[in-house]
Amino acid sequence: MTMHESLIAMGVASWLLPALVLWPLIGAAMVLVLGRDARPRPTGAALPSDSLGSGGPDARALTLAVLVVEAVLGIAAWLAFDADAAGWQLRTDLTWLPDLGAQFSLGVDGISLPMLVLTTCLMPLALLATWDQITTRVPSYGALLLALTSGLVGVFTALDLLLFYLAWELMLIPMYFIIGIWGSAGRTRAAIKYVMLTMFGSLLMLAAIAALYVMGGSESFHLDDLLQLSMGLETQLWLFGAFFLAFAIKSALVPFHTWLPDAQFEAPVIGAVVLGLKVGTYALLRFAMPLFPAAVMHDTVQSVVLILSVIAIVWGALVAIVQPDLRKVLSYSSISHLGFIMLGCFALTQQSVEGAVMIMVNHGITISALFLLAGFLKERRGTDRLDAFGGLARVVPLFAVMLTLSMLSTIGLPGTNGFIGEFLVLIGTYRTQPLFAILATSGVVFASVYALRATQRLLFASLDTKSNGGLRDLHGRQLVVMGVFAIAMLWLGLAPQPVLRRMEHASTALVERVRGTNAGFATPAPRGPGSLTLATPVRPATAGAPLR
Amino acid sequence: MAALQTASAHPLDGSLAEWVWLLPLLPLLGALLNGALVLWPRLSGVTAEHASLDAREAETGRRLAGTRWLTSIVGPGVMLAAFALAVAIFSTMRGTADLVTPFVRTYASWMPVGDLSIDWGVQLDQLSVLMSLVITGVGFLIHVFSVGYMASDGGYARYFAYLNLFVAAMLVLVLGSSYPVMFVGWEGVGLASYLLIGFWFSEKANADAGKKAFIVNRIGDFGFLVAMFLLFSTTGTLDFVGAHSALAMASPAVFTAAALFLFLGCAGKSAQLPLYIWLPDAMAGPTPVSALIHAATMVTGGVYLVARASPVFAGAPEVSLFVALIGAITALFAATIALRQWDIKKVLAYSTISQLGYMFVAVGTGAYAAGVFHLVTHAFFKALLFLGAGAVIHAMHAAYHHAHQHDQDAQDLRNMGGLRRYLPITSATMWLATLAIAGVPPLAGFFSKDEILASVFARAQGSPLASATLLGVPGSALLYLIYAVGIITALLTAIYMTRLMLLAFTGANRTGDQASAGLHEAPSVMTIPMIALAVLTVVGGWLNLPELLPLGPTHLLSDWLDPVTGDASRVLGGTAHLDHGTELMLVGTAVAIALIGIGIAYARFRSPVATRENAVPETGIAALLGDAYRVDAGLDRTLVQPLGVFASRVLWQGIDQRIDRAFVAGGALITRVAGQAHDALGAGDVGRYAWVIVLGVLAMLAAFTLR
Repeated sequence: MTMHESLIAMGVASWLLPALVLWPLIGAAMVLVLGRDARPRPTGAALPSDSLGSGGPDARALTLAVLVVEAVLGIAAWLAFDADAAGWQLRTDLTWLPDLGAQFSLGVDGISLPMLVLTTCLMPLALLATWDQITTRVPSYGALLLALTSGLVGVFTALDLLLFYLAWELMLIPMYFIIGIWGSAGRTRAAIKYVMLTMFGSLLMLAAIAALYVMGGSESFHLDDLLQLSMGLETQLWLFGAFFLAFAIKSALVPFHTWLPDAQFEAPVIGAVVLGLKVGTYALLRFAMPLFPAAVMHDTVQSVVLILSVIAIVWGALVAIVQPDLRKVLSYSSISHLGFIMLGCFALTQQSVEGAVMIMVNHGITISALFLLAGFLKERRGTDRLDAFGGLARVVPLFAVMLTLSMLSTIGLPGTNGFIGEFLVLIGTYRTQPLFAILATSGVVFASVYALRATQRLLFASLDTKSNGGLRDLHGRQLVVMGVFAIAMLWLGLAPQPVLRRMEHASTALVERVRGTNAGFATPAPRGPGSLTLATPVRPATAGAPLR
Repeated sequence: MAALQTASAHPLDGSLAEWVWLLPLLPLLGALLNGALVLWPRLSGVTAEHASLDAREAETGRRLAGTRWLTSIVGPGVMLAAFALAVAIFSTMRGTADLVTPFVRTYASWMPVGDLSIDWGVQLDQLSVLMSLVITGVGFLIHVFSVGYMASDGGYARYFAYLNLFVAAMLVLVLGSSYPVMFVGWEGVGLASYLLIGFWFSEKANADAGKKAFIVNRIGDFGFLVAMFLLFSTTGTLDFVGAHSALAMASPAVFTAAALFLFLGCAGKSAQLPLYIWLPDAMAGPTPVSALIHAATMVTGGVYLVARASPVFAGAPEVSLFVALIGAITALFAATIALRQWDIKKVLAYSTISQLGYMFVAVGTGAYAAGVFHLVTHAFFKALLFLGAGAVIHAMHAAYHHAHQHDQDAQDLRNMGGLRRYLPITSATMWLATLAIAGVPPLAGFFSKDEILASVFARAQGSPLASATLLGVPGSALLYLIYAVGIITALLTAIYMTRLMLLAFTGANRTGDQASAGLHEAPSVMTIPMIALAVLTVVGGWLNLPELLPLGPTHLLSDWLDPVTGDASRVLGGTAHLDHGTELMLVGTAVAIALIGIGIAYARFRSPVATRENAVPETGIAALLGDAYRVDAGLDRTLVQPLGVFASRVLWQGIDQRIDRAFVAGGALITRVAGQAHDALGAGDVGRYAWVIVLGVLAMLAAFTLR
């Protein structure tokens, strides 16, 4: 009996996903009610957990405990997933708004599963790494973080569009507060810009969802039902446009990208980490592309998106080269990476789509590690301006090793996780759009410039600023967290096969649905005899309730 | 390790060759162990215990000193083990009859996506085993040399960690069974090179040099990547065996494009025009690194790639011609610069670029075995020259240190002179290498260079290359031109190398009375590797003797490589043939040119020169050559600076921030229209605004529910 079979036999399928969505909300309530604010630390105090006193458990520790449970549930979802089955898994349908036909319908496939696991595992790690960085109004902070987690998990698991929309907004509001309350000097402007742009997109999306609902006439918001709709090209173009705009803004596609560097710069580090999760492009793959295939394949749409993608790749990288702060370099590098994801999505081959999802996952890992490292600098020196440092490799060698490894992952050095997605996107894109693939490949050159420039400014040359000589290297929980990131980067770079294998059915289905035909290069061909997939034939998922 | 995929029966099945996976793993193990030694003091709490940087570094240094012996054993030790394994595998292969197809082993699936299947696999054939022998053999000698050279360096373990990592990546490069696996090694050696060039990273110039090397190489990697995409979309696979056989059906345009993009990668890695600019700067690394990475192995990666992809290049005669032409121009260009360099390592760096040009002339004309032959002999004599330069620099450093003259340049030829008295072994071995690179028989360089020039001359008639045209110029004329350039370069090579030796080792010593007392020969841990390389420099020519000079078995190397590159070589060679009379004349010309070059250098450079401090600034052509045609400054002005300004002023401040302001202004407008006071937002009443959103969402939900 395989791991997933035993887990299914234990009945996890019926409660795992709802638990994943709701548990952080319950946790948020617990933290708000029970959690005790951290005492203002006397300067130089080593451990924050030494202040055990009256007033219930430490809010931060409680938050961490809730997030750890959430991560365990996320890993359970990974284990319960059947890599050889097509369709939704761990599917749960609960009645929610019967008058409206909206259901509390959750499920995962090979595209959402990696994002779900990434999110749930990232949150406790990020909290642990930024442990000392938030000292005011900790219970509210913890509760908002948990609400945010719930929103993220909801986005990655919702199959009902209204539920998805709710989760989408549930992400927005805590993030707004996290930036607005715990951010740095320019937080208000950044938070408002972030909310206004994304709200604008959300409203368009809400309108499009409403239109789909009305047109469908089946009184359902469920993706499976809406996928049955047949729409004319013009309708598809309008609705796709609304969805696309919402997701493009959320994922900071050029020219809707300018909110991201500000938000990530002003937000507390953990906020920057969450903003690095690619919810926008996930939603694009999950909803916008399968719902409106004719629009996606439309020549003008294709040209516009592909051109924007290539511009984003080059633009983001070039602007990243001239940024004065590490976190801004990272933000613009994200904008550049987003170009690769978009390219992969719209090139629509099996390799390019799986590559795009791989970048979403790997970028989430790598950019988080980098933002956390930038946060360590800011925590210690109050700034992450590149010219405030230099020669740090002498002072903080462990930090230097981690920064170098993460930067190498960013520029896609083979052997690191960053290479896999980029390579798959480009090799897949070349089959349908060779010119765009070649243009995009030039991004690897520019990426090396910004990454090595930032690395060098921080780590090499002489140690000019005396106060940097006393910087403390990574230690304790920071070291543990960074170790986990390092292992993840190398593991996914050398052996991404477990993730790719789980994606196979979902990406095939997506490509075939959007392309409408069984395009030659989209067919999954037999793999090498080394892989196990051929041993078991494709069968529908048995888990979850049947379609209503 | 069990192979997951067993190909149809192969003569090497079940033989010692099954252990080939261990080859890159051994140095990787060394890298991990040495890396752990470096980080261990930090991980075990040095940071916490010592507040000040000096105290921390002192403590780390103390702990590292305790493990120095382990590094000295592990670093060279894994190399010796790898070399022994390579020799054992090589003997097994030599003893196996009918070794026609490569021995491919696949260990795990790496990127299986749809019809794309990339595996972790190795390919053992006559070419990859030969490269492995050179890498581990010469690599071992240079590791041993490093034990002496780096003895007093604080980063001892870190150095060996990087050097071991390099060898591991280089072995992946040559042993990989597919283009992507080769690319792992290809970028891996680039990373190790980056780390080692910037090894002494506290100097900004060193870190800059490493960065430049990586970025310029990435331009080449762009070509490598695109070539892979093209090959996959044409053939559906990226395994060497599968892709090359499936390519037979492809159109000539595919061959041309794939070969061109691949060559862009080669030009980056092997420092050919116009991507050579990183290699002179790469001399900032420790000298044994220059010997191993920037002379003997990594920079020959591009030559190896052309030989490995010979079926691709053979299908594109125009591109092959282009490769040879670029090689010839690079050879001449770099040789002229080498004439006027004063830094002993810079002379050798430009010399390396020039010699790599010869190798591309060879592989470009389809004489793959000749190119690989020169690659091997060059690995011997150029590694020797760099190690010799290392011994000289080591001695000069010690001398200036002894005299407390730390501001003096230990690498400037003008500060040397008469070193033969102090470094007799270094002097003798370097002279052998100099005669070899100049092409004096019967040393190794003579045979390999002669074979290249003879092949070019032969193929100028009766080969597909001769009948092809490049930019309207007939191939035949181009090949004669390339031959002539090769001869001129040979002359210049003899001149600049003899100049270096005369300036460094003969005449009166210019180090200064005080300092010269501190000059001494290198310890035996450094001289023994040099002597070993000197022996190889003398006997290396016997690897591939021509029929014309049957001093032993002829064509050993060509015959050995025939199963790998023979077919492609014959495709490009056509019916080209040299009769013995012509061949004898070519050999005579080459030898005469070498001797003339040495003579010119003797006539010109035996007169004493001023020391670096007293040198008169050069003018005219000498200054232009001394500044390497001022290419770096020109590129900086025309490309690097403008790009930075464009990114900063136009893209970022010009457009990016303007878009941002437009969005903010638009947002403000919307909020005004919606009746929200702009001031309230600007004042930052966070809570109120967010509650508006929350209520808005709830209201919308309610509206739906109450529909």
